[in-house]
Amino acid sequence: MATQHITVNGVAASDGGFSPSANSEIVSNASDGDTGSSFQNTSINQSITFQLEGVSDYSVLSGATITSVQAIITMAASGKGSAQATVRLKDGTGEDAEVYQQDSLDTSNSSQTDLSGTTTNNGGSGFSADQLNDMLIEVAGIEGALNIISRVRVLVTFTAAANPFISKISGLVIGSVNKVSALAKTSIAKVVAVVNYFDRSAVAKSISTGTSEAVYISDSNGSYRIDHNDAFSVSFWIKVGWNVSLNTTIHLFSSSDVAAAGANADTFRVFYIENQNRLMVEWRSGSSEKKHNFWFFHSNSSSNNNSADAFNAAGLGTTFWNSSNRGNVNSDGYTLITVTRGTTNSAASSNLNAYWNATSLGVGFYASGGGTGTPNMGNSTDKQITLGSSSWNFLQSGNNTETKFNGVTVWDKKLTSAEVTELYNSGTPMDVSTHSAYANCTGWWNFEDTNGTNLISGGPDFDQINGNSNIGPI
Amino acid sequence: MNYYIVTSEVFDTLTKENIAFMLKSIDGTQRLIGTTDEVTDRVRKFQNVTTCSNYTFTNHSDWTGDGAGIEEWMLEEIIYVPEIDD
Repeated sequence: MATQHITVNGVAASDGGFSPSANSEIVSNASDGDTGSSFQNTSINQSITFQLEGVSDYSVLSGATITSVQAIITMAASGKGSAQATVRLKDGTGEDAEVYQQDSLDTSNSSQTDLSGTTTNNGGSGFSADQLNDMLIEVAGIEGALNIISRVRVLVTFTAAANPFISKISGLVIGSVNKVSALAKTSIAKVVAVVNYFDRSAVAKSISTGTSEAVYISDSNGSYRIDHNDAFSVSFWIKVGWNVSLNTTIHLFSSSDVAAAGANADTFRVFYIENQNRLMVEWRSGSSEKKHNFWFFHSNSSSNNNSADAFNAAGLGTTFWNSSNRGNVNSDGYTLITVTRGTTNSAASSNLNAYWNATSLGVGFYASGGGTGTPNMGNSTDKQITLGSSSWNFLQSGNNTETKFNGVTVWDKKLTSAEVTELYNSGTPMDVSTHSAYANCTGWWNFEDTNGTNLISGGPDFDQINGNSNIGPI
Repeated sequence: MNYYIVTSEVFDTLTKENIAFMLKSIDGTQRLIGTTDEVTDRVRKFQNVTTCSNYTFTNHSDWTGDGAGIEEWMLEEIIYVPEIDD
């Protein structure tokens, strides 16, 4: 089943006594996804009841079977004691309102902390669209508690409706099939091509760190083992969630030996250094045995191996890559990042390349490759593979809002420029089984179900999607 | 390698070619650096890369926006290049 976060969009009732005082500001602070903007009670025992987004706000919920809901608030204590609140999901503001779920949530952490209520399936009957549309979330303070709340939302778990487009088209096609013309045949073929593959979900990596929030697989069946001199490519669609205040590194794709104690455990990784606006690729087996290269995006210059190539490919301008400046993206705000590597144990541009969508980033900063020594990664150990965090300690996951990943593929060849263009598919995540190099695709995860199924038979699933990380709409 | 926190004004006077790591503080007033030079006009000096890293975890809100600090591998390997990082 898929999940969707819905957030607050209005106030149904309030005791007042909050800062900021205006309901519109409270709603804005509670719904903007930014833990830096918050509201708090200025007196004790104050309650506020929010309206929530509904089915009409998310097309993926249209016609869906809603199985359960779960309240989540992000809250910090003031430093004078614990923050404590009673959170109720209910269908009205009156005393006779039905309460679907009530939880008492508390934290003594002075940093904003995600606090989750109990998941309720409404006694097993789930929720109708009307029930979800009318649902309210009440946050009531407890005597003596000063609650600094930055986010109020509800996690909706649902089973998506059968593709509505197919059912609508089917009636027309069935009615026309007996008097089919050449034109109709062409149209039908196009319809079939469209409806046979429909990618509408992605995985969102929580900005919290640690195993309990990680998106990863442990390749216990050994089907994914990158060596230091294996031809290899990795590609993923990414919708950036971090902002300009990250000021550090975020790992995008990372692979290390299972139970790795550090970065030297045969790691291959693709990461972004926000404070330097660099996309970096590295593989290593020791602190002095590593190969790497990087591309930076903010210099429209012929210097540094013609950095204008990366500048133009990304389309970020001179501002660094972040959620307010995603550069060249598809209609859903995603960029396809692809890294291709040949069989040489070198990060030189002749062996290692990177692409933004279908466009090469050009020669990396180190034309002859960076690094020291000779990595010897071996390929006998199973790998631990992460999205959105480092693969050995599950850190560097960004800030601000979740970064989303989709259409992740790994290949046992160095994809050509033409094959990357084919994979980009004019900006639409493709049915990779129709790619001309599909025989070399060793892993494909499109995140259309709850456990990140690998669509390559026998390959490992992203079976660990933990904490606030979730699969949801693109 | 010597690890320091210096003010941005002092940073501007240092020999950039000898600086291997540089991170601006969130508020832009200070720089965390790794350099082969000895710097006397400094805000803080660290014994080694480990104590430097530990300091950033304790004071992460001054240096990073993700709630964590700067790991040792980052201090040692994310190379400062003046011509593209300034």
